[in-house]
Amino acid sequence: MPDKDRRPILEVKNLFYGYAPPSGFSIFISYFSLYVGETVLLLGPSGGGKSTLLNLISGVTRPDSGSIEICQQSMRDLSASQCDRFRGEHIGLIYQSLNLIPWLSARENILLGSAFSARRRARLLASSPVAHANGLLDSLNMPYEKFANMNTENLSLGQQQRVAAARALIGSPELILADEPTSALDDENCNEFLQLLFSRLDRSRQSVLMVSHDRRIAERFDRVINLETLFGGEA
Amino acid sequence: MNVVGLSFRSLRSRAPIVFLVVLNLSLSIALYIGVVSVERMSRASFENSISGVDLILAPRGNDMQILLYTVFNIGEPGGLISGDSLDKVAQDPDVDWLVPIALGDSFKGFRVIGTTPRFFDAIEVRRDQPLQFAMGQQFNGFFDVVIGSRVASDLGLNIGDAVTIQHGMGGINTASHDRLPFQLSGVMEPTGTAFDQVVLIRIQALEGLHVGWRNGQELMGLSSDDIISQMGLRSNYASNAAFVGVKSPLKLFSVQRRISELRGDALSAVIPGVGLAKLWQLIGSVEAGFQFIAMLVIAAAVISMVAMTMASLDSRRRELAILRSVGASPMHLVLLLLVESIFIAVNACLMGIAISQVGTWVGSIYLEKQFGLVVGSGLLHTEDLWVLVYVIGAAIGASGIPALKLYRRTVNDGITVKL
Repeated sequence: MPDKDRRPILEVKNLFYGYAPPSGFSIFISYFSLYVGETVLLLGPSGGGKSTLLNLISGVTRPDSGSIEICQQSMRDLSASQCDRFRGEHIGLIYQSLNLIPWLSARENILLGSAFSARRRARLLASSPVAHANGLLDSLNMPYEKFANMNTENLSLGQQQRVAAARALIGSPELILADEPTSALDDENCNEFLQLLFSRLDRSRQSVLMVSHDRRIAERFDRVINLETLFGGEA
Repeated sequence: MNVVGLSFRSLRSRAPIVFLVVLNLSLSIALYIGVVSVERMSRASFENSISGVDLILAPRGNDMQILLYTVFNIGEPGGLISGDSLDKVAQDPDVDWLVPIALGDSFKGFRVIGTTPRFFDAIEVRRDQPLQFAMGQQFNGFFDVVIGSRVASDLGLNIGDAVTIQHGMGGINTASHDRLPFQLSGVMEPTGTAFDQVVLIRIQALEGLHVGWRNGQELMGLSSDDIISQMGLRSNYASNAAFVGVKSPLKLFSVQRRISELRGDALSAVIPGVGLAKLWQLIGSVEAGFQFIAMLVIAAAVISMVAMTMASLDSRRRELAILRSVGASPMHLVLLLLVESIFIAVNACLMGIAISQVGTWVGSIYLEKQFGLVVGSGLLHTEDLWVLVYVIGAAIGASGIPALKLYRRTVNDGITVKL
């Protein structure tokens, strides 16, 4: 399918961001786009600017120059608090580990995903947010009768990551950002995690951008881009 | 699940330490309310001592001193008012009643007051509450004695018991009026005032038993029959002071002026309320000191609450980043912190009130026994609630420090999880 027929969900142009000395580290992306329904893996080592990139895309950090558009909305035009709300509405985030708030139950952690977004709550067509979260738990091979009220500290690493995926998915945000979500998982849990994440993805409107150094997952993605290539030019 | 719900769940996860902080704050609030209540009770006890009395008549002297020796059994009287002067005041058209008070003798360490039966009708210990008798009745016979509740409970006397009045305020070698047949006729109900600690006899009896005395020695004592026949119930007697009631409050100042202009004895007419206010000013500074200390304790508790919040911020770095990632703005997180502080402060206030109420209830039993302070019902007054408002305000204000730290940190950390 030629690019021009597809809508980008994320478009990055001439993005530059540099840290102040002494680190002096900087990243530059001349062009990058992610299309609706697309799953992209950015492969790169730790310390390669992944966190900075995620902070830039999610609007927490402002670029020194260049533009980032998500769902046709330029992040530059949003105030800091509008950015926060926009992130809550349109982006679901998954971290490498320690994704969950320890004083919330598994279900409460999932519900957190739509807690700050009326739009995501409104998209939960099924009865109530709680029922929806229960459904998500079930689909993650975590029967809600057993897991919904469980303390997250009693969950295995793989279960924790799946709950984090459910939180990112609840209310169907357009962009799922994932920062090394599988690197702490063994092969079995890694496969289960990706399978569940992709199976719950609505390809007609949602996209995944994952950053990782984990090469074993590359085959599951529509596109794989090396971080060095990305920072060097276009993708 | 909104910010308030998140706050509660976060607090619940730190329940033990949150409870200690609430307890700390609530104890300091209870201390403050306790100090204020005791102050109010002692003030009320002060004011109750002589409600119903419009003027205190005494030989010219210091208002406060007069108040102390007439109402609070403290200090020595300043001299005598002649019977003629008392009559003149009693006959003033605006004076309703006059009750003389003669002092100087004692009974086992308790002060003896010579007065007239009118005393029991005129004196009120609380507004519109006359003296009541727990046992027996007021003076009937010439040598009848009425005692306050504290005297009765300390000495374990019964109606009909003989009472030996001692000359002066007691001591090892003081002379006794032991030949005279004083006997107990009545015991008053507790009043929570200094009247609980007095021994009342007829003023004529007090005067009569001193006939024939010089310099504290009995030279030529009279028998009881002689005293009765000589003194009888005559109406002309000298006294150390007198309680006066006027017919209309509007006439108070004109009566007071006429008394000070009387020829003969130089007299003072003290308005109890004015004297009490002066006395209270004196004691009030001590009370203010206590209040100040109680406020410092509250401040220390608020600081400890802030310290807990500050300390928790470090261990909560991760959850703050997670909350940012799902769309919480730094202001949301500041709000989260404020709701926690408000919750702690409000709970501490409620608990503080509860502790202070239970504490004063338990303490009142002791206070009433030891100091005769009568604890009223409505302990908590509306002005106390202002303290609660200040505490909650201070808690919110003090949360500004951790809130600022949190704000800066979340802006820096963004959605990056830092440990």
